[in-house]
Amino acid sequence: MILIGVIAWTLKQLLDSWQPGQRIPPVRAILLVVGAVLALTLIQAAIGYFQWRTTTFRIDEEEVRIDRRFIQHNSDRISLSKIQSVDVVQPLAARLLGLARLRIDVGGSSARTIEYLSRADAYRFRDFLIGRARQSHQATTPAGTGAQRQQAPRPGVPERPGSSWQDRRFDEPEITHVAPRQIVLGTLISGGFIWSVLLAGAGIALPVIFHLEVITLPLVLAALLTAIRAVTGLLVKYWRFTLLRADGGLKMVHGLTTLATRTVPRHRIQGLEIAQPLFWRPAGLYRVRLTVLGGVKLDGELEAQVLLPVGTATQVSEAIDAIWPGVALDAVALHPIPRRARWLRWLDRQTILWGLDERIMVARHGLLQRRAEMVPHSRVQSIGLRQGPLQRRLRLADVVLHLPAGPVYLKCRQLDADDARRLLLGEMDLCRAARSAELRPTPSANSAPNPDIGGTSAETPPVM
Amino acid sequence: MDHLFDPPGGAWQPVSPRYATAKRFAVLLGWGLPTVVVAVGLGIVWTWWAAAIAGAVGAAWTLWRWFRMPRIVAAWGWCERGTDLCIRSGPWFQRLTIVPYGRMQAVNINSGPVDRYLGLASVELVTASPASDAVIPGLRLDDATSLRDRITAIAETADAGL
Repeated sequence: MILIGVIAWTLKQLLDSWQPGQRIPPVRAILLVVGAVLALTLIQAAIGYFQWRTTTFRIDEEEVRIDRRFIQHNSDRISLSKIQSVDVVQPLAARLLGLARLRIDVGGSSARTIEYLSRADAYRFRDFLIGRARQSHQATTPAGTGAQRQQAPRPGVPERPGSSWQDRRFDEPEITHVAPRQIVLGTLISGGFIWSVLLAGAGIALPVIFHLEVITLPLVLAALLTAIRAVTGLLVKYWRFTLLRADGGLKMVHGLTTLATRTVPRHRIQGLEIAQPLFWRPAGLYRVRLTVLGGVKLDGELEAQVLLPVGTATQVSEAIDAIWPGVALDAVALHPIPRRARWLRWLDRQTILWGLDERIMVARHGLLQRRAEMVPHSRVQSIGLRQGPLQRRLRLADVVLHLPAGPVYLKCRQLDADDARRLLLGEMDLCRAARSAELRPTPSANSAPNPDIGGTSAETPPVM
Repeated sequence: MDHLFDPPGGAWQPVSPRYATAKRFAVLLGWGLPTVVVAVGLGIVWTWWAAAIAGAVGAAWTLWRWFRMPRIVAAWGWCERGTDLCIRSGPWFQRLTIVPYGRMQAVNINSGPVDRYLGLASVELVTASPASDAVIPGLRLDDATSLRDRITAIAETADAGL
């Protein structure tokens, strides 16, 4: 940031001092710029080097200990049982040098990072820490399920450390991956990119037609920026996106320049939002985002909020099935809202639908961008019912499910008042039943069609 | 079919009527004082009629809030339905929030200077969701502490899990 500021300032100085008569900028100004940039780079590099040299860490059977003794000394001790997830990030430069950053998520407070390890070490430590966190997890969950898990030996497949291209072991089956063709298509027909093309087109066409040269440059520049944002936000960030089934959760590996690996324990997933932007509709593409408990304060590379950046309906249902086995979005019967709601929702009344089955609650809405939210009953924190004066006249009401902070916001809009009341109380009972079924696995949970459901209940965390 | 905002269990427990006094003080502070400041300021730097209009509008709104407060306070209510806590509020924009005790992470009691003078306190249930916003304001102080104690006692035995 400082670097950019300095460059901008010196450039401005340079332009100011550039008299119209002169052909070339003064040599002194150029030297000044180069000198300032060099000095700043050197200072930053030196600080980075000493920070790296003075950081030590230790991982033993009990805890991770990170000691930093640069200018400010601090020492972090993280108990292995407190670790929620461990991510590996490799920015481009580090990736070329075979280095990686380890990021340890401990739930509520901000994550601890260990910068820079060799790639193989980072992968090894990550696997060890996640394995340990899972074991201590099972020790605290009710007896029986944990032991049953322990008995199943790890399949004896050779484990291969990941490369700079992919971070995947042989024992991690792939759920789905986004092909390069798909993500290029998704980027090209994304809203941001189409707008940028339109803007650029306007910037070129308007001067030709109306002889308005003034607006060309700003329009084309704005178009360029929008296009860059669209490409970096989707194509570069989620290039070669792979969703893997890892030990106890999901693993997402993606990135063109920065290769990021994120592990999300399945029991921390609170809800999903499946969205279809307007321009993706003809191509049948969807985007799936998720709310992860404690996954709010994350840096940009590791956005926990994306489960699938671009995907077809099949890929979406594969991803959903991996999180909650046996759950399908289309299997839930959806109800429309009453016709009289058109007085409040003029255009999109018929797009609003809601429904629930014994495991999840689903709400759909959206005229241009279609969205569907799904939340399992066992993850609902609390429920709200709302009714304004107009809604009271029309006997309508909104029901909102409260989830931990994240992108998913499930609101059943403009329900019939009787339905809303029934839903409110019924959902409370469903939630209580789902919670207690997770806490003490009942025979019914074990005899469910997919044996994995029993596994999910074994992963219930202790209360935060 | 019962009415939409009927109590899901038992009857609505009202909050203390003295809470209206606290809210009226807040109205004076939040609307009355700015009205005076704006009206006087306009009168000094501009003309008297602008000050009069601003003063009239501000005074009307302040009076409206002042006389409406008992209705607003009467709309607050809470009740228990098994191991859930239900809270309702709002005379026009009605809200009903149901929080299971099993989801509760903490119970806070808050009491500002005005609340303390009137012997009032608010009880807040904190869940993992910032959207829950489960606050019961204007309880008598001993009611608030006994409610807090009962909630924590129930929550220890009630179902939990995230």
